[in-house]
Amino acid sequence: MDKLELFNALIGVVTPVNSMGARANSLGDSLGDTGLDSLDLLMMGIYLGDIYGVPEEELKLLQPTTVNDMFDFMEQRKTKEPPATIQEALEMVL
Amino acid sequence: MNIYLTDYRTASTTQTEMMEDIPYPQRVHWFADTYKNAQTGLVYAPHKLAEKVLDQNLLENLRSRPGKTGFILAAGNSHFAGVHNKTGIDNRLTYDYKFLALSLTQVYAGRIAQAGGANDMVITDASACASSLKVMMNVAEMFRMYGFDRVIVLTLEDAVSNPVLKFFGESKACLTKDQEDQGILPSAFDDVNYGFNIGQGAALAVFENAKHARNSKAQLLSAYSASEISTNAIGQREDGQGFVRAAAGALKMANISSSDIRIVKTHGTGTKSNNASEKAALQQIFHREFIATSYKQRIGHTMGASGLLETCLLLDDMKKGIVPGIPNRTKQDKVFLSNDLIIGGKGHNILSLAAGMGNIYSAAIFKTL
Repeated sequence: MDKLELFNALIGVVTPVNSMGARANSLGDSLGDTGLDSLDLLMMGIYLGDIYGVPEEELKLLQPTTVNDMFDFMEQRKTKEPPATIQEALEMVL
Repeated sequence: MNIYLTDYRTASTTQTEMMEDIPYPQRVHWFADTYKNAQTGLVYAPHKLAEKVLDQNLLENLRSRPGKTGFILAAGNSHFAGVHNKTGIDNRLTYDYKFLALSLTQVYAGRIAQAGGANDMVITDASACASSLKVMMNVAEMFRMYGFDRVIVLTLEDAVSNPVLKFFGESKACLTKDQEDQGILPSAFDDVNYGFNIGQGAALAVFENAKHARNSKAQLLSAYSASEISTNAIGQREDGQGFVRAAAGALKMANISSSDIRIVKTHGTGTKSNNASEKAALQQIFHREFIATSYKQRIGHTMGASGLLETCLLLDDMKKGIVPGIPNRTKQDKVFLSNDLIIGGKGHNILSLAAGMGNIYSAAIFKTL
């Protein structure tokens, strides 16, 4: 599963109504440049935590600067492998 | 200053389902999909309900339009009721918010305001079931006193949720399965049938001044809110004082008389208290010369959303040339309509009424265009 593609797919879920142009162009993008606000990013962390099976208590330690930081955090603390496809991942949170 | 209702979207359903696995089993009008996966605490039922009226094309269009724009979320309460679900019930409606901040209506309002390009003012309202009509007074103020060009109103409440169903069932304010088994049907202003079921519903309405209005659907002539002195904080006085004060204020603000009102959309819960209060009020205001209907028996009581949502539904019906009768009336009545009324033409004035716990009463007068 392509991480950048997953991140951008989740933008449509974490933002209310629509993404209003929010997007990451690369995993190295600063989260501040994606157009997501603080609550969007909080939700993004929770959704990714669900997809990777990261316990809620550990999610509180998440302090990412870039998109890649989020995925590195998830990979390091995952309790399960994420699904193979974006669609399967979205079905876990929708 | 003319204020126009230029666009709206509504979500409600006449379909019902019996909820058996709650302390006071009762029928509800709801969209089951809003609770899909809600138990994860990541998908919030009220937000998903709102999405049914948050038309992305309309919001995109609003963002592109010039003008001073405000946003009001008439949510009925300061947080959505699904939160703090300490009812001890485990069923399809059970969920807790993982982020309490997202259950706060003002945080949600701020996020939605941006989506609609409303960068000049954000208001939330917690006037219980009077909420969406009460904010019509705010809408009028924003245009007339603060020079707004456009005000977007979103209204919804987390009505079908375990805490709400428990509270209303316990207080016998809504119809329960026990009453249904006795043959009682939802109705209002009737001697035999009475009451309502709880329902999910939402409305998105766009108000604009003459400079920015394009295809106007109605004109907001006036709005007024009032209270009353009462010993019962959750009921209504039998003399209808609160309704009278709200309606009289709206008529005065519109500079019209009661004889200019063609249709009254009542609060119309059909409870004993509301039947007595609203009937007494209308008889005082109109001297028995009026035509009234109620929507709560069709779509359920959508709480804070009900006033504006039902007004939009009435505008839709009147566009088709009818004012629907009140369901399940057991007597023929041309005042509190027991049958649909055929009505033609435009330019009819509608008086919409709403009441909320805490002795809050709201009235708004719209003119069909």
